[in-house]
Amino acid sequence: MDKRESELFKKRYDPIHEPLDRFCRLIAGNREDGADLLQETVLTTMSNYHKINKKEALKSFMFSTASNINKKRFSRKRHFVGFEAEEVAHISGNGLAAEHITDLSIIYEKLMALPTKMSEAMMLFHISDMSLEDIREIQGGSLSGVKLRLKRGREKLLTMLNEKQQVIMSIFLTI
Amino acid sequence: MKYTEEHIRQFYEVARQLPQNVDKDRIFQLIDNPPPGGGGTSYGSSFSPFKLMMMSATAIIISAMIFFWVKPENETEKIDRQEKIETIESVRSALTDTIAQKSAMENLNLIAKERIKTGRVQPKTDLIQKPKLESKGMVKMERPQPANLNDQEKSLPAISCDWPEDTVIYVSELVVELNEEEARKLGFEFIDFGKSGDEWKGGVYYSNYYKGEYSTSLRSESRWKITDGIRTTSESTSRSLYLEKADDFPKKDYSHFSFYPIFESDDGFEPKGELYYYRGRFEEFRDKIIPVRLTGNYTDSHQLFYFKVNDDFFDALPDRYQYLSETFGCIQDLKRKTGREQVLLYQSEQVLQMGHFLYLDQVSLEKIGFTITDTVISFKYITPELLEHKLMLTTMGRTAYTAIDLSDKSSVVYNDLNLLLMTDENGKQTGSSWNFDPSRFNKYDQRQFDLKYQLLVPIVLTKEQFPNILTENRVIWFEPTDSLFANLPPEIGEELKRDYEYLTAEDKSDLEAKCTFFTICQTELKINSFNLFPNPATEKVNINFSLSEDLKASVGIYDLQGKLLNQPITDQQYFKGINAIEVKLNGLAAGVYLLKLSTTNGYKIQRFIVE
Repeated sequence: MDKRESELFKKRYDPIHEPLDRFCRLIAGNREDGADLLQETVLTTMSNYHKINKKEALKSFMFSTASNINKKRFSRKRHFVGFEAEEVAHISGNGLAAEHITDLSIIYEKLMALPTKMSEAMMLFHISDMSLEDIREIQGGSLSGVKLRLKRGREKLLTMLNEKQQVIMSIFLTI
Repeated sequence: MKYTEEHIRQFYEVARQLPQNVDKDRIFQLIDNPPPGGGGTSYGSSFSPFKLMMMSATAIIISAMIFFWVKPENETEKIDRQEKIETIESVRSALTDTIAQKSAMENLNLIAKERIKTGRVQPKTDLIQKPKLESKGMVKMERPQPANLNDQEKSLPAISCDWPEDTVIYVSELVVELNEEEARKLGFEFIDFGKSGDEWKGGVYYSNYYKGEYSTSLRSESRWKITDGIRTTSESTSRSLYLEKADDFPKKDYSHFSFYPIFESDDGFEPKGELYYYRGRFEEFRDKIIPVRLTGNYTDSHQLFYFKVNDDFFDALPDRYQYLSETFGCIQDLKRKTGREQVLLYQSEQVLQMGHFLYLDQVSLEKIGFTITDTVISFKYITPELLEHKLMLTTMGRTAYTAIDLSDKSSVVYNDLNLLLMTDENGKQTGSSWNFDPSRFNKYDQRQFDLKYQLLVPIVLTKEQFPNILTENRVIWFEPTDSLFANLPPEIGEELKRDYEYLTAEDKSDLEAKCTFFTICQTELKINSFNLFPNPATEKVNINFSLSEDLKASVGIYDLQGKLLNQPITDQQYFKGINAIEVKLNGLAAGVYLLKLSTTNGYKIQRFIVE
């Protein structure tokens, strides 16, 4: 990528940075992995930049790249019960009340427990402000499939939240 | 509590406003100066080291197959084959009824399978050489492959020793320290991801699969800051150790050893029960595991991995640790002969007396300022800078700690009840409830400042007291202030205050104290002065003391339960007059520790904090 191209890339990347950053952190589950994921997404996009025909589609390209890398690299984690020392009790300084944080971390935990595609669609729609059409492009399938995924996700999340709390493990989420 | 759509909507709101994790400039810097080859790993890029590896492995397998296929049969193989054909023929002719025919068919199948297996296509594992991946700034070291994948676990040989019956071995004496090259023989892998921006990333990885038992995987990564091209500080580390039941299909790229780590711990030798399948089974394995410490650039030297031992494990250890095989045999022998449960002790010798924690009932805790319900314990306090701090302990051992800058500063009333940190009973910090702000203490002189931190008041919340909330005991450390003394039950508060005033007074002649609550009182050594600084410490502490005669002295660092963690100085000669010692802390985890100066004339103990 020459200098002119990288300047152009930077310009196109600029508005995507913040939603992508949040998305990476949320799907990776913690700050460290989120930062790793974002960097790798950027590097992968750079090396494949010439392959993107419609440069306007950079946003959905980068989101799907991030999602794919996460699946390849971090998905194995889902099958294990693990221990992340770094994660423990680092909830401070974002101006929220402690009760609130505890509630939110439970919601996040349950959201991540939904099927991958479902939780991803919900995060893309509600948190990263992507349109339904964009989500369809990222996840594949049809528009009604995306709508159905969102609807079922919402319902399932509520049911899961109101099920009797099970002792899972005391990992504190950095959100 | 019932969750509604409103809660979820609130969650989305908060998640949309997450503070920035990665600075945009850092990404721009990365775009301007991408690492050679395009990235740390190769996901999505056109070149894949994994593909390359698979391709070369396939090529080697095919060439091995061709090699064995075209190899002419030698005499023994010919005879062997002839014998098998004869066996098949005789079995076939001997069979008359259908049942026998069926079982004979099975036999035939077995023989046929066996012939293929032993004949030509079985590749030899040592033929498969993993290629070194040196592209893209990543250096991946090759891992040795075992000769036999399905080797059954070998038990330790029964040997007989003449150890005295009351022998006790501390686990600290068994720690195996391995450098990178030696650790690779146990299946560890060290990867240097190279430089990215102004950071360097590398780590230790471990993935092992053992058929019929468990597969283990470990990830422990570190980032370093680069200053003028040299690695300086460790920026952050993340680590995890996983264990899962191995299924029938070996994972790609895993090693296959019959020994693997099943617990991990820090320097305190208290294995954590986080490994899923072994959780709660420590007692079962306590005499069958051995702690391994890794040294080198990429590892955390305070982390210990407990390997399940067998003969293969001892074979993989370097020569200097070969004696361990015998030691383990002797431990088993002693257990067998004497019927003792514990020959191997996991705690260092307890040398210090405890009794400095305050155990209070619920009413007294509420009087200090705790709010206690069935599911939540919380403590809120406001500092003179008008920051509202709140600590919450909720069900399942969850902790949350917040500091909020109060917007309306006019109407706030604060008292001086300050909670400074939370630890477990060993003194190790839990949660992030630190509130050390030296600027608050500028008004005190240095001596007062040091003393305050030596005299923090530890109040214990026990899991028996709050079974719904706590999974382990928590120690909350309060600043010794007048409000605290006044709010404690009178008999404790008054005595504490008397002790505190005695210890902080310049002139002690008019005062009297029992001095039962503070560690600093636990002394027998008559020395003229003893000063420990800085406190809280980070990398080292200095001790100044003056002696009235020449003495030999040792310095040990203990946790709050009195277990020896580290003995930096042993029997060194010190002379009459003022002596100064610098003690390196070697990266002790954050928490509260005890430093003990012991001489032939007695000892002196001082509490200090590591940030």
